[in-house]
Amino acid sequence: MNPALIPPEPPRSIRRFIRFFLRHEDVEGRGAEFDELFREELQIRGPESARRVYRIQFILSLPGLIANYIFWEAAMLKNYLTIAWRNLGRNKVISFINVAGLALGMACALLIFLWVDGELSVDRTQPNGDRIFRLEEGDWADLQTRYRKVFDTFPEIEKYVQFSSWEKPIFRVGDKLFDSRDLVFADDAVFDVFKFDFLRGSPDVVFSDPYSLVLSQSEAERLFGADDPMGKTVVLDNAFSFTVTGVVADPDNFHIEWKAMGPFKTLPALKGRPNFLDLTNDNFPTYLLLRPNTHIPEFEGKLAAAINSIRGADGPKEFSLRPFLDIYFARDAVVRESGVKHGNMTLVILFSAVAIMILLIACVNFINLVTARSSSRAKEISVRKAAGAVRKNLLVQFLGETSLTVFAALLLALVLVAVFLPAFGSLTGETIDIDWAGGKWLGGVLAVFLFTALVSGLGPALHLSSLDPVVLMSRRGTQASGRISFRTVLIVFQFAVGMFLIIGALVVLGQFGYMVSKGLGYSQEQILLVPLKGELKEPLQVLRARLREGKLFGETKRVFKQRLLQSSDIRGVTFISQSPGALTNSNTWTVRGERKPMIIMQTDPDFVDVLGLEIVSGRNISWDRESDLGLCYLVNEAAVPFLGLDPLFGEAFQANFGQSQIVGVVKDFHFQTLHQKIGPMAIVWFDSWTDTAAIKISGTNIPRAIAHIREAWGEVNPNAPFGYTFMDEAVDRLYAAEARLGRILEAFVWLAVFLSCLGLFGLSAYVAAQKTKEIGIRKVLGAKASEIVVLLSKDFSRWVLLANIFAWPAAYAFSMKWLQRFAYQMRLGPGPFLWASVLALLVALLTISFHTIKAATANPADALRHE
Amino acid sequence: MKLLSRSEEIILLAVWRLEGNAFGISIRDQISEATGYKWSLGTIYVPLDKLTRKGYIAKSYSKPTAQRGGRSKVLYHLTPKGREALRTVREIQASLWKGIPEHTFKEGS
Repeated sequence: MNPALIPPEPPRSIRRFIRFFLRHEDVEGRGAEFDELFREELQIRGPESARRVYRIQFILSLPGLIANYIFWEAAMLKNYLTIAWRNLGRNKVISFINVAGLALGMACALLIFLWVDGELSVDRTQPNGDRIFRLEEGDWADLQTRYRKVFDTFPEIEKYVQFSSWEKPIFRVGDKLFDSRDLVFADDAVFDVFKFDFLRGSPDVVFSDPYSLVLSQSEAERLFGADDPMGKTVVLDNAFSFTVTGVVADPDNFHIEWKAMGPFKTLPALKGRPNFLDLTNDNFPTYLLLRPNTHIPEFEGKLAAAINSIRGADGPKEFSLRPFLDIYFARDAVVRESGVKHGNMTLVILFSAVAIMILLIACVNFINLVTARSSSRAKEISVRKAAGAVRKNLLVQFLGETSLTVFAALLLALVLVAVFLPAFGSLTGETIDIDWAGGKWLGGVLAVFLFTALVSGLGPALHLSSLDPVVLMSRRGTQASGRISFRTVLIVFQFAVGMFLIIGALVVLGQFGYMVSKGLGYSQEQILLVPLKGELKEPLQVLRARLREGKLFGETKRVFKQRLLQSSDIRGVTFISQSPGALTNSNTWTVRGERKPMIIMQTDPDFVDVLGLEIVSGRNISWDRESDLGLCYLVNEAAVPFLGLDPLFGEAFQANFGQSQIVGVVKDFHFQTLHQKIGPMAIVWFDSWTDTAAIKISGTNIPRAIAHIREAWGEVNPNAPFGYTFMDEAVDRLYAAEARLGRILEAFVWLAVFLSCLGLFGLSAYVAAQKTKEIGIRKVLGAKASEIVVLLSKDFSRWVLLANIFAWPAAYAFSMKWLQRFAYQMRLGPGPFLWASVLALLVALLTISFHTIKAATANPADALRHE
Repeated sequence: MKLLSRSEEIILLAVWRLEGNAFGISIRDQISEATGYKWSLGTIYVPLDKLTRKGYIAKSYSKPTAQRGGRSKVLYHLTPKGREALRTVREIQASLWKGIPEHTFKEGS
């Protein structure tokens, strides 16, 4: 047929649109009226004009069409609401399970959303974020101060900042003493490069005086209470008066933790070293704000060349720029840095996955209970279909009904979130605030709502609306076996997820327990760590003067130690430079012309005794030989092959205090966390760098021992606050991340198991009710109650056991992957897997027993009189 | 009794006048002609449905017409209740107009 002969039609898409808005019964008549307008115009002015008229007519009619649509939908909606409300009321237990389950799942998802959002937004709020880079030297993130000269010569560098987080002075406010917490010093440019939320003071002028201090809000409250901190004085180490010039909102969203900030330019005065900025032995994280459109690789090369040219005799190093936004989630522990906190992307992904899984469990409950009861709605569906409802109407109705339930659950979930927020905060170790009206939060809430409503609504809606009214009315086929198997799949899924979480939690907790209980190779019990402050921590100029006079051991430290040992409660005292479980200080030795990096513990000769280390060959460094000081080393077993010295003792090599030698070997001990393999390390007597006293006490009277230490402290060091930690606690803290993960997983596990059981509880009630008559007949025919229980439990048990098949491999893969992070792993036996299965089965059977036993012990006469 | 809105009144009148041939397009033409601007189909459907629901007009289906490709039109008729409503509106208007001298009205315009 010639296409020209086909009369032109109105634009198809608009036509469909109009028909969508018209009521079913109006589609014919009114749709045709639009067409008629088109045809009239077609005859008068042709197709071009007709289409235009049609389009204009549509646009003009749209408000009316929509108003009409809403008008008629509202009438139907009222009916839907009535039915939905009746349905909720009809089976209160199941409705409660649905709403409570969904609310718990959504609350959990929302809490995790808050945490994940907090993690992902660290550093992301910095407006200059994409132009800031951290300069790194080899595997060090901290750079020497003398490089600053080079930065000034590059036009590409707009501003640069160095942070110092090494200073740990004592604060004095009025006559009260405080430890400093997270005090950093930064260049004035810090407030140009980074943005902080100033509550008081202006970022442009806060550092105009070199003795200014900016406090975070929480620090200001700690130091000044409710008083206005602005203009008040904080005295550092009883010597330097700083004035508070600004207060910022707590910078939790920044990867450098700081609570108080002073100007970097004051450090030379503070340290008594006027040439501080030209020196090589202090290292600080360094951030460069580059001009827009700087070509990074090219600039990196130029910068490295320029820095290496001033390094001169120290030899060239590799320099690289790390994008600022990559720092927080950087996983490579090879970069050594100071004062930086890190996020864990694996954890973020894991938690997001857990949130979705728990929400899915809740949705599955809902789906199961709704489809299980579909037969009870069969009549309603049939009547609606007979009265002319098309599938679209039913879909809309059931989706709407689900949305209503989900909405009620959402309100409950929001209450739960508000109630559990503090508890969740302590679980994750972070304070989380909700901006209830914030766009992101509302978006999250909406996303969770839509996800839940769609996932739990779509399946049942499709199922219910697809039922054939004839089949429904004849009461046949409502128990189609295909539906049972669909529900089975969902239940198996639920239990698989639950078991996966149980196994995961058992493995994480197991590894944590393994780590804290594994012999670390040194004793950590009954050792107190006392951070040295005030007089006991010699300022560098005092230390230098002392060394110049030839006094190798600090007088105050010596007095303190002697005073401590006067009590029989004190077994031994040693001064150490780092926590024994987390050594990081390193030096480079030159052994037979080769450069060997070594981890170094600067301490005194009592270290070996106090920590109970074993000397396997050679001798300990000795108080009696002054020549041992700084020049004689103990190494661990791992260092022996690494150094390649034969014979080990006697040969001199170059270390940081001159020609040195090795005098003894100690048995390997875990001087770092169990994430790392024991590497080569050395112990040297050099007490000038020590900052902590490790005090071994006898276990008989710990309070008396502590009182004695406090007394001795007060005598030699009255102007500094006294504080201590137990070393085993400090060691445990090294595994805080694992402990936290374990606790969080544990909480989720209980939630997941509880939700699964909630669903099972509802479903078993339904199944028992369905089989009332069967049970009655069986009992009449002589079945025992126990047989009935077994009969009813058999199916459920089978499903739970089936879930193992899916949970085990997934959990095994996760566990192996996670355990790879540790150099020393627990043995992953079948234990966690079997425990998880047994636990899941037991919980499932207990849950359904309520209904099975009730059904089994019921009087068969009642059951048979059922109709 | 609730009074008719102005658009309802206009449409009701149009349906009355077109009695026997009142369907979407003819109503639209009629009132567009009377008011002097083009009404869209959508804007007359809302009051039409409202009036139907209130029982002022009733719907019927015409014989299938060739013009519509063998489909029937939806025709609207005024019900007695609708006629009553129109009468009420007119009476109220008349009583309100009464006493306003014709000349003041003309001067104002």
